[in-house]
Formats: sequence, structure tokens, C-alpha cells
Amino acid sequence: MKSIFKSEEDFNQFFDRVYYNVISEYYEGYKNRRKNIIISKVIFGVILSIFFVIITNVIELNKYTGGHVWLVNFFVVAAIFACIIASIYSEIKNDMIKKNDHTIKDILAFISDVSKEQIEYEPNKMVSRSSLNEAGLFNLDRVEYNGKNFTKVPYYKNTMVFSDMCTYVYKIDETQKEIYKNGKKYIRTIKTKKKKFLFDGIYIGATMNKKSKNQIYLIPNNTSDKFIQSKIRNYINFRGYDIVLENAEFSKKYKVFCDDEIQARYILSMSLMERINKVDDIIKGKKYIVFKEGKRFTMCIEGLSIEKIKRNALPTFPNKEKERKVLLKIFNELNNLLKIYHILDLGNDLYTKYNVDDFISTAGVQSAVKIDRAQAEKIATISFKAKE
Amino acid sequence: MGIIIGVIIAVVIILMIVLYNNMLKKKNRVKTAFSGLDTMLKKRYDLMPNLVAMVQKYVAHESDILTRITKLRARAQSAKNIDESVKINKELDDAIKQLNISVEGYPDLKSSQNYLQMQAALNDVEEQISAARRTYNANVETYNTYIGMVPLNIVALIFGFKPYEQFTATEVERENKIWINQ
Repeated sequence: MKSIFKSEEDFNQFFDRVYYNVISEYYEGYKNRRKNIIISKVIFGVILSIFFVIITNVIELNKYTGGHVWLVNFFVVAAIFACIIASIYSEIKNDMIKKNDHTIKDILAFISDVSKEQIEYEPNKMVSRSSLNEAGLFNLDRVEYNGKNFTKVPYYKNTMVFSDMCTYVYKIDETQKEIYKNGKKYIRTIKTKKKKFLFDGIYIGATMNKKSKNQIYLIPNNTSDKFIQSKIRNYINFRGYDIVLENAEFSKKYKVFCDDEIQARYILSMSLMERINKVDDIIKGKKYIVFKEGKRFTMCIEGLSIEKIKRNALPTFPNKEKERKVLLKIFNELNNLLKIYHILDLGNDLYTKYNVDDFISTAGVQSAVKIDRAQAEKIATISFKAKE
Repeated sequence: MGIIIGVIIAVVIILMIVLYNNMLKKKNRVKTAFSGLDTMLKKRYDLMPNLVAMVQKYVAHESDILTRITKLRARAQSAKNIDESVKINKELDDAIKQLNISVEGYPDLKSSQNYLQMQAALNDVEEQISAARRTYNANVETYNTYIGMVPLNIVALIFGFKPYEQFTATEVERENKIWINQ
């Protein structure tokens, strides 16, 4: 399979040749807004400081401070300007984070070798309920969920979908408090509604070229999430197996649930188990993996999100090396996500290109190699007889 | 005294029944796994005539291997029990692998589109067989260990539970990695 891996070196070249100019143009366009933010906030700070100094004179603060009013003024004005600087920094940083909506699209287009228009990235959208239901991991009847940063990337003849998502339940805590009114003791029950997060991470969807006829769930061995497990447990109790596979490292990390043991071992071949172990080396965090009927592959990784990647903001003022460093970090994190496709060899087209059944000659069916069963049997028998 | 002996006998009988049921359950899982394997093997048997016919045109000097494959295919299809089938299939694996090595010497055949497609199809079947074998071996291992433990081995002996043979890597598989799927 032709590798379209992009290395850090490739990205550095891309940055030097093309992307640095794009970022410079952005800074150029942003110059006026940055100037306006700085000027407006500094003017506000100066006005506030003057106002404060006037107030101290009006209320004759000097009398109460033993002639040290200048010291009070100095500290208050310093505090005002510290706040102003923090506010400027925060506003510019937010603008830079917003800029990452475009940066992420650009870098994904670079990694996947497609045009920017082909990348679908919607910061306020999440993966559909039907897709989540299809994955069968989350008990959506019992849990609430939300998410953002829906990303769809065409990648090596396939498509990968990413979306930040979290599932949670509302837990009601009851506390009792004793109160006394008119000499009498009352007990008041206070109910507080608390959000309990069950899963907070990223959803990754892709197609796998190896066709599975059944469904296989890989759940981290150390998971204590009853909500995720309850649905799988229910399903397993009725018609499934909990199997232990040959790879010790893999078995230590994952519990495997399936409804057909042979199919599970067909999909989870020795090499795929090793590849899943490799993904664990690159991306940390609990992983929930599902292989569904057909070619659907879903991986949910806890603790990872596009939002976190987006938080790597460009520097406030143009600085080529700092820009490179930030963008390289974003590139590496996105590249690792897309690398999952390669590491797991999801695009191995051996299984889709050739259909086994085409070669099994059955009565009335002409084989793909244009040798029918009778002819083949005849040749084989002749050969056998000749030897006899 | 009579009551105590009666209770002991009852406990032993209940224990025997439980152990027998467990053994039977495990044995049935081996049989189910084997029938899964058998289905996959049949898929391969169906590919054999095509493979032999295709290769025959090119590798006239390798008729020994082709004859062996044909013969083994016929024997495997008429195997009477699991152990015999396991044994014949091991030989068939060796023969297919030897054929694959021989094909290396025929560039025309190796580059033929039909052969490449056939090889891919065989590869997929081999992978399914490999999965079925792993399932079979895992179940055989569980069963053999269970009936081999003391004192379960005595119970197994009484009820006639015998250990099954596992599929192991053949000599050719050990020597070269070709065709060993996943």
C-alpha cells in the first residue's frame, strides 16, 4: 500500500514554502484589529486610572493614609494595567484560537493530500445520533450527550470522521440540613442536580476494508463505566462470547465481546492485535473499539479532543519559529489521529478487490478465472491418474 | 452410618453429573469450533481444482505437488473424524506452501492477473481458516486442560472423554513465513 504518511520534515517544508506566507497574511490582516484591541483597552485603563486618582483627591484620601496616597494610587494603577494587559492577551489569544478553525482545516488538507474544500469541519456540529447509536457503545437511552468539532476527512480512498463528544448523566444529590424556626427544629432536604461525566473524548469513525459479518466490541480492561458496559453486557448475555485472545499484551488491555468467535478471530488477527497495541503507544487514553457488521469501524478515545488541539494558539505577535512550533504541535496531534488508519491498516484493499466467492466454482456459476468446476476437476483428476 | 454412606454416594453422583456436563459442554464447544473450521476448509477445497488447473498450464514439471494436492483434497473431504481431518489438512497446508514456493520459479505465472487474484482469494480463505483454527485450538486447549487435571482425568476416563489434537504450525510454515496469515 502506498504510504501517504506526512512527516515533521514534510510539514516544515510545507510551512516554509507555503504556509508561512498564509499565516503572515493572516497576521497582516489582523494587525488593525490587534491595534484596535490594544489602543481601546489602554485608553480604557488610562481613563480608569485618572478617574481613580481624581476620586482619591476628592475624598481626600491623603488624610487617612498619612501622606502616602501616591503609594495607593501607584498600586491601584499598576493593578489596573496588569488587568488590561491580561485582558489584551486573553482577547488576542481567543482570536488566535478562532483562527485555528482554519488552521485545522488547512493542516488536515495537507496531511490527507486533498483540497481544503473537501474537508468538512464544523466547530459547532457533532456526529449524528444515528451514528452513535450504530456504534452501539453508548447507552443513549439512558445518558445525555453533546459534542462539537465535527470533522470529515477524505483519507486514502476512504473517509474518516472525528467529533469531540461527551456523555453524562444527571445525578441528584440529597442533603439534609437542620434549621430552627420559632424554637422548633425542622429538617430541610436540599436536592442538587449534578452532571456526572461518563465519557469525555473523541469519536473516530472510519470504514475498514475487511468485512465483518458480526459485531465485535473491545472495551478497556480497567474500565469501570457501567453505562458503556451495560449495553454491551446486555447484548453479550443474550447471544455473545467474552473471549480471550492469544496476544498477552492485548488481552491485558482489552476485553473482547463478540457474537461469533471465529469472526472475532478473523477480524482480530494476530497482526491487528499488535497494531492496536501500537496505537496505544502513540495515543494514550482509554480506547473503546467497535467493529460492526459490514465495514464500520469506530474508536472512542477518552481524554483526547479536537478542542484541545485547537487550544494550541498561535503567538500574539508574528514570530516565525514560535508559529512553526505551534503549528507543528497541531500537525503532530492531527497526524497521529489520521495515522490510526494506517497503523490499523484499515485501508488494506486485499479483501475488497478480490471476492473469494468469485473463485469458488459452483454449479451454474462461472468462476472469475473462467475455469468451471467440471473442467478444473477433470484436469486435476487427469493429473492424479497420470501419477497413479 | 448408612445415612452417611448414602449422602457420600449422592454427593459423588451429583459431582459426577456436574463434571460430566462440564466436560460435555467443553467437548461440544470443540465440536462447534471444528464445524466452523470445517466450513472454512471446504471453502478451500473448492478453490483447489481452480488452483491446480491454473497452475498446471505453467508448471508442468511440478506435477508431483499438484497430484499430491489433488489426492490430499480428496482424502480430506472424506475424512472420517476430526483427528484424521486435522492430520490430512496439515499435509495439505504443506503441499500448498510447497506449490507456492515452486511458483516463485515461474515469473509468467507469478505475474498473471488470474494467479494474483487467485492468490488473494486463497489468502483470504487462509485467513479465515487461520481464525477458525485459532478458535478450535483455544477450545481444544481449554477442553484438554480440563480433562487432564487430577482428579478430573479419572472422571474423563470413566466417561470416555479423550483429548483432541491441536492444529500446529507445519514444518513448511516454520521454515518460511509465506502463506502464514496474520
